[in-house]
Amino acid sequence: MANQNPLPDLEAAGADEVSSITKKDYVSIRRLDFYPDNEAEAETKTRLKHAVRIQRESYGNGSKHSG
Amino acid sequence: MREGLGIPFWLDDELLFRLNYGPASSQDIERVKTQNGKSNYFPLFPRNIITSNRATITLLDRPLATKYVAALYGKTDTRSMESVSRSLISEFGYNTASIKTYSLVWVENFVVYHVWNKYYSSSILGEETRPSMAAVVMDMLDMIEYFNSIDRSTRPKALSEWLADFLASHSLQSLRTDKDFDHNWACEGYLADLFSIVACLPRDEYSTLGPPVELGWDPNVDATVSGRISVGRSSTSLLSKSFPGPEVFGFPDVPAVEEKGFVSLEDLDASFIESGAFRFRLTNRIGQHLMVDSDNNIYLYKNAEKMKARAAGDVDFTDHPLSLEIYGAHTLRGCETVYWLANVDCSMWVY
Repeated sequence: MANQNPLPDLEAAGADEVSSITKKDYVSIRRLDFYPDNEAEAETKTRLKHAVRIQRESYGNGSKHSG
Repeated sequence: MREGLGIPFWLDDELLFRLNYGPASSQDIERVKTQNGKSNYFPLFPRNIITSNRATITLLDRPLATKYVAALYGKTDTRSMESVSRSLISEFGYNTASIKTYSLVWVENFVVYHVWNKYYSSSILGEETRPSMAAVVMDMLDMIEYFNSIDRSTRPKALSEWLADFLASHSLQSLRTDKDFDHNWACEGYLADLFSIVACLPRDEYSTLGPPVELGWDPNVDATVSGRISVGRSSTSLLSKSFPGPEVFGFPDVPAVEEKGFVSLEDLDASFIESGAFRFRLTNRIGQHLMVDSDNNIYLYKNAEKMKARAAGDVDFTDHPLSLEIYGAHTLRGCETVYWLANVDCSMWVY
């Protein structure tokens, strides 16, 4: 299922003010130095991908899941 | 697709991975905090989470959420049991019928609105980059284990001293490593806030809000004046409270008895007790729960209102439940710190 809520393109929206606020007021997140190898990181990504896919399908099926 | 209910923007595996484990951009954080120009701030979880058509933001990776709740309350599933069928709760939902959900909402809110705020403990966490959600939760897990390991016969000392020892003895994931920082400030700000969340303390002695106790904000006058943050002067009394012992969880400065603290019999459904010599009185002091004084007053910790609201599904999980139930199976009951809580029979309470 296509992502119906893509990330907003702040620059393209011409929102210079928003962009400047974002740059000024928001921090970014550094990488957690946790995974001993790429394999464990890949497993986590695969697990998340699977869970998200199932959840998105439940929206499409009108599941009772509340999200 | 259900009418009027799109897939929430956060249900994106790559975004969830970035927020939990990093790296993530400032736009990612901006998006989580605001949507369509509106703040996602309060409440993160709308009232009555089960029945509302929500696009609730739940960010914490579920294995971590499970591990955190298990550390606090023993092995448990964040979605299962406790009055709600597991099938009604999705992989990305929390069980709103469980009081343990408060602790998870507090963790997520803390990371999003404190740790990822530019004006929160910037010299400790980093000016430009901040720890991911997993980094903070892993440090909380270490903190739970640390305080759980304190022997009940240990000589009590101030919480700030314990936090200093915790900091010195652990390699924490969430703190900055690129620059040295003031360890005292870390203990009296960020780590004190972490502790308040782990211990499920109300925001302050008089508040119905949940943790943190709000000690980690930068002393940045400009940010406060410009309205970017709005935080009153926080009480630092938590830092000087002795540990192990009941002080940390007790509030001796609060008036012991409500001014209009007599409870109606109908509310308590215990008229047979008041038909005799005894009278119920509400107390703000959790340590007075079920105590009887020389005037035959039986004291009840003031949480009946909250429990009724929660039973009706009208819950704001950013609040504190003001309930003994949240401490009922809390892991810190296992140490002397909350030994007195263990002597409170929560099953006696009117839910």
